[in-house]
This record gives sequence, C-alpha cells and structure tokens, in this order.
Amino acid sequence: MRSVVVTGLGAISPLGLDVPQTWAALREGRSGIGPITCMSTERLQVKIAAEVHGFEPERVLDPKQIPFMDRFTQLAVSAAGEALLDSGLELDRDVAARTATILGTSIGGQLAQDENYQRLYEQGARRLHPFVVSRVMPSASASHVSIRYGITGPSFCVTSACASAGHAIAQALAMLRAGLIDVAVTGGSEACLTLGGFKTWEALRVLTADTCRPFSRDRSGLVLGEGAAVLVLEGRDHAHARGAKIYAELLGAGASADADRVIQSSAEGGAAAMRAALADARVESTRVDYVNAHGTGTAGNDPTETESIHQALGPQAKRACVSSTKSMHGHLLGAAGAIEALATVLAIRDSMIPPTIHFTEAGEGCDLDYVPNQARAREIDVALSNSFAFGGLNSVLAFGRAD
Amino acid sequence: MSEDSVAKRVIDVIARHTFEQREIGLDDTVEALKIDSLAMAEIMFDLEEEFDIVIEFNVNRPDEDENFRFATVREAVQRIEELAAQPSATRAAEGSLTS
Repeated sequence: MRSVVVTGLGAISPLGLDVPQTWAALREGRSGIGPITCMSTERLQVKIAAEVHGFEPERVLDPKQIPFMDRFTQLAVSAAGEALLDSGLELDRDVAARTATILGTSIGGQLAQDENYQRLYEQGARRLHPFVVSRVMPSASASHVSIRYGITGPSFCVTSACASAGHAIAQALAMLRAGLIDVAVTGGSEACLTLGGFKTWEALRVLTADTCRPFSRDRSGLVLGEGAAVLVLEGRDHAHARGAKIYAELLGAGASADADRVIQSSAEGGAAAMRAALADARVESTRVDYVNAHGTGTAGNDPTETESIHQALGPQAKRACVSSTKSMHGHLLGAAGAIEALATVLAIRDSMIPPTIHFTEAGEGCDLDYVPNQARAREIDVALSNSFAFGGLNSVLAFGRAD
Repeated sequence: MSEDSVAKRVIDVIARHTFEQREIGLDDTVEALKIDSLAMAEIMFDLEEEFDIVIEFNVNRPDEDENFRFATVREAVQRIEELAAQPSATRAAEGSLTS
C-alpha cells in the first residue's frame, strides 16, 4: 500500500500566527486562552476564549478576494500558504491537477451569517451584500485555497462537528492511497467567536469561566477557540521524487459512530475508532507512545475518553503519554483535529510531547499519564490523535516517524 | 405574583419534559419524574424564559453550590421564587443575557 507522508505544515492559532510560534507555545506549555476581545461581552456569561490575535488578512491575502471571504476562509488560506511554502512543492499544471484540497469546518462562515442576519432581522436592512452566500458557505475555505494556489484536483470540505478536520485528513489519506491524487492540502479552520455562536455554546452549559483543565478534578468545561491548521500530505514516492523533507508518516486512520447519544460520547465508540486506526496502520497497540487526546475538559469527555484509551490500548494505555493540547489552544471545533494532528506530527519530529496545562490533580476516572504542565522528552514510535464529535462521530489518526 | 401561580408555572414547565402522564405534585422528586440531564437542561432554559431570570448551571460542576439544583418540585419552586425576587435592576442587567 502507498505510504503517505507529511511534507508541509501551516497554522494560525491562538498560540501564534505561524507554525514556529504555535509549536514553541505548545512545547513551553503556554496558554492562548484569555479574555474575549473580538466582541462585546456584555451579553455573555462566559467571557473567555482562545482567540487568534494580530491576524491581518490584508497582509497575506489578495485584497480583491477578501470581500468574498469569511474569517474561517481567511485563516484557512493563510495556513495553507504557509504549509505549501514549507513543503517546497511547485504547483505546476500537472501537479496541481493531482493535488486535492480537503478541509474540515464545523460551522462555516458564521461571522458573515451573524453579521448579515443581524443587519436583516435587527436593523431591518433592505438588502444584503452580494457576496454573503460565498462567505457563508461551509465549503468556501476549500474553494479559496484552490483559487489562491491554483490547485485543480478534487476539492471540498468535510463536516462532522468537532471531528471535521480528522475526517478531512482521513479522506485525503484514502484518496492518496487509492492513487486518485499525489498531494493533498488538508486540515481545517474555524472562526466561531460570534455572539450567536457563543450563545449556542453557553446554552449547552458546558463552557468554563475558569480555564481549560482537561483530566483535572477541578475542570469545569471547555474553552472555545478559533484558528486553522493545514498539512501537506504526499505519497512517499512523490515526496522522494522531488527530494522533499518529511516530517512524519500518516500511518492510518480510523472512524466510527457511537450511534448512541447526541451530547455524551461513548467509550466504546471512541475505542472502536482508535482500534480501527491501529488496524488501518497495521501496528500493534504496544507501539503507541503518545495519544493526543480529544480532551475537552468537560465532565463527560475526559473519563469516557480515558476509558476508550484503556479499551483500545489495553496495558499500553498506562505506558503511553496522553495529553490534551486544548488546554493551550482551546477547542477549535472543526479545526481541532487539524491543529492537534500538527501538534502530534511535531511531537514525533522533535521527540517532545506537549503537555496538558492547567493540570492540578487527576479527576475521577482519569488515571493515565496526562503529561501535566510540562512537555516531556520521549521518542515516539506511533502516536494517535483523537477527535470525538458531538453527535457521536469519531475520527482517529495514527502517525509514525518519517523513516 | 402569588405562590400558587409560581408553583403552577414551574409544574407546567416540568410537565413538558417528563414522560410521566400523571399529575405532578410538589413532593415529586427528580428521580421519580425520570428527569435526565438533557431534560434538566431544557427545564432550566424554559424556567429562565418563563420567569425572565438567569439560572446558574454548569453541567461540568453539578455539585457546585452556585449551581441551580433541586431534588423535589417544591425545592424548584422555592429556588425560582428566590431568583424571581432578586432586585429588578440586577435582573434587568442579567435578563438581557437570556433574551
């Protein structure tokens, strides 16, 4: 079977405007969570989020294209630009036709939707801007990445709530293995910090006003975040032929549906996806050194995910390191699986596992090594990245060393 | 508003989220009414809307003191009466949260 490798990375996150800044913060255990500045908090009960600060779209994007773009698209195009530059790939006509753009988003153009509906319903506007449709459509990120970089192969978005980017990357892997494409620009983006979006999460009563403390006894919920992360995936043959540097190998992907409850995940569903990823990667559970957990910091997820890891890895669960980088970058919803895949890839490259910060003491039912508060040096053979979505849709990616 | 009317309104809200067909009394418990966590989330939302109040509840910290809790319908009525009796200025400021 065709080996698929990671040859480029891009990120715009609450931890920084590129991969070096984002990875430095992850290694140093720095938090990107803070007071909300992107909107008035007057009508919010929870007033913290993980925002992207300092992003100036006009500095990186074609000014003529900006009116067509919601923030989730702007973030995706920018992160894809960094990833493509990093990969060194030259997108000539033939390569471009064999390159796919497959991105995840949970919500799509929520800022544009919020702003325009407010104008219409609240302010009684008689008409809306002609490009609202193109800003709101959840596939806009894939469209604009393809337009900006001239990618002419299969391009679309994948949506499965908080597992969207995981499923997008898995789809890219399947198409690369099947020989349908040679390169994929894949990952996800989300820009969900609007009054409307925030209030929907407040209504679920799962947001914390404290901070994100995955797996800790005193955790009190999740922190919404925004951002984008993009991976360039390539058939190893293709990467070798052009002498590309290789970060890691995407060994396999697994997915499952809980077919159970909407809001609460099931341990069996998560475990099934992890087992499927290992089977797809053809590796034994004993080789798993690191699990980048979904780790939202909610009462429901953390013990259930811990149980999933036990079920899937058996005795190896206690030997592996498990960390939730959401403690630093927050929950990027449809982009979560992308930034966490990026963290997993760089952990493998640098033999350095990013920590679970804000950790105090382990919560009930949370009995694994969560790499509390400080990064850990450890050589990683195989690492898993978990994304478990509301609605019970699970995605797990398995990465291994470049060689 | 009289106490009876608060009780009746609370019972009407709870009745919408329980599958129990019988009449609901003040001494009925959450368990007896088979109210699960999702039903509870909807009950709190409906109570906020019905009484124009803000109910503090984080599902991740169900046992925290500041969290809205009740074991019986009578307790729910009492808590709602307390919240509804808060100074109107506070409620006006917080009330916009739920609108």
